[in-house]
Amino acid sequence: MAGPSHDPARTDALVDGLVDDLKPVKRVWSPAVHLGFWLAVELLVFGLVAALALRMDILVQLQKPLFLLEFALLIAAGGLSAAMALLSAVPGREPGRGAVTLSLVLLAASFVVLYREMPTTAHAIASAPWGMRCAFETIAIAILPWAALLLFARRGASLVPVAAGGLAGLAAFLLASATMRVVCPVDDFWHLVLWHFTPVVLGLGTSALLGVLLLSAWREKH
Amino acid sequence: MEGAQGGDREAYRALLLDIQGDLGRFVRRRVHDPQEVEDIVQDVLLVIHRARHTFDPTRPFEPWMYAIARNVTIDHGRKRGSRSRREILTDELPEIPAEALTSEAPLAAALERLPESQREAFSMLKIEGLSVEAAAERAGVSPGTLRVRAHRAYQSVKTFIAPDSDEGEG
Repeated sequence: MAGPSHDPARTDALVDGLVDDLKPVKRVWSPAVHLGFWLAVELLVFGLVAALALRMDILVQLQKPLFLLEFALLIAAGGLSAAMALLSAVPGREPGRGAVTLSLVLLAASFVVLYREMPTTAHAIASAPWGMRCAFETIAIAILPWAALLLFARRGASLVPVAAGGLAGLAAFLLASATMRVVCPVDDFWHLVLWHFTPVVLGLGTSALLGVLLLSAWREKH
Repeated sequence: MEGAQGGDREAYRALLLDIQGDLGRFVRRRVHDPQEVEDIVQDVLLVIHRARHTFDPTRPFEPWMYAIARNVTIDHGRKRGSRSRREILTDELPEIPAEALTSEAPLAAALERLPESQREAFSMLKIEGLSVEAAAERAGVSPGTLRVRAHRAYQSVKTFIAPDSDEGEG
């Protein structure tokens, strides 16, 4: 049975329709340019937070190699995730498994450094009010860069909106978590895992869902 | 594609005609049903149209085009799998209401699920029998936009309705 779709004339009609519909388009910025703008937003937020709420012992912390290493690993994992989110918004530029693996390795390495560096006490549970404040601050710091990244990704045409959205959330919340390291004076492993990284996981999940909603709309233009 | 991004219709038509062969070969390596191959190629053309602002002329065209083709082909595979599972479940239903067996019921139900703009385009062209130009004028859009909406509606309706009911659609 030749179904109604088996009609080459329909492809010709579609081509006619697409040609008739053609309008000049403004080319989307490259992922590298978007990344540059996004890093500028991140620097702005980081500068603002550091100016307002830097932890008192920051000079002591900056002399600890493990603190610097953990901070650098979080920044690298976040930056790489942002780059991957922006690449995911352009067909044919989606990051390969190598880049995804590298990002996960950086994140895992930051946890290893954190675990070796920090005491592990029951402090995290005992200081829930303080911890909740840290969680809210992490979210607040992430909001603007997160929105900017989703906005930049939305200008493209992501073929993998869940991944692009998830990576955008991961990037923004990882850098927010890194920023919190220069704000929050509590250096306890479980405090950091529970109150600084739980928002990262929540941000990743929420952003993946938002990615489905926001980053696939370009397919339904007509 | 660079010309198409600037609005050059002739360059765009030439490109769309030129890539159909490559796309057909690409899809046929993954899908064996000729009818589905054609559907997928048409969908790839639509997606290329909508994503054309993301093409970077300083980079080669093929990886961009094939990334879209691969994604659309995978999407079709997923939808086909999901449809097959639904069909198996439907076979297991103990009773089918008599009104659902009429030829109009599945089409009406499928039309209900379409976005308003696509339902309007489909109805005007396929049910009212208007010309593309007349339908476009009534909808207040260009004929090209109306053709694309109708194509999209047609694809969705075909997905919503089981293949066996295609005959009733005419």
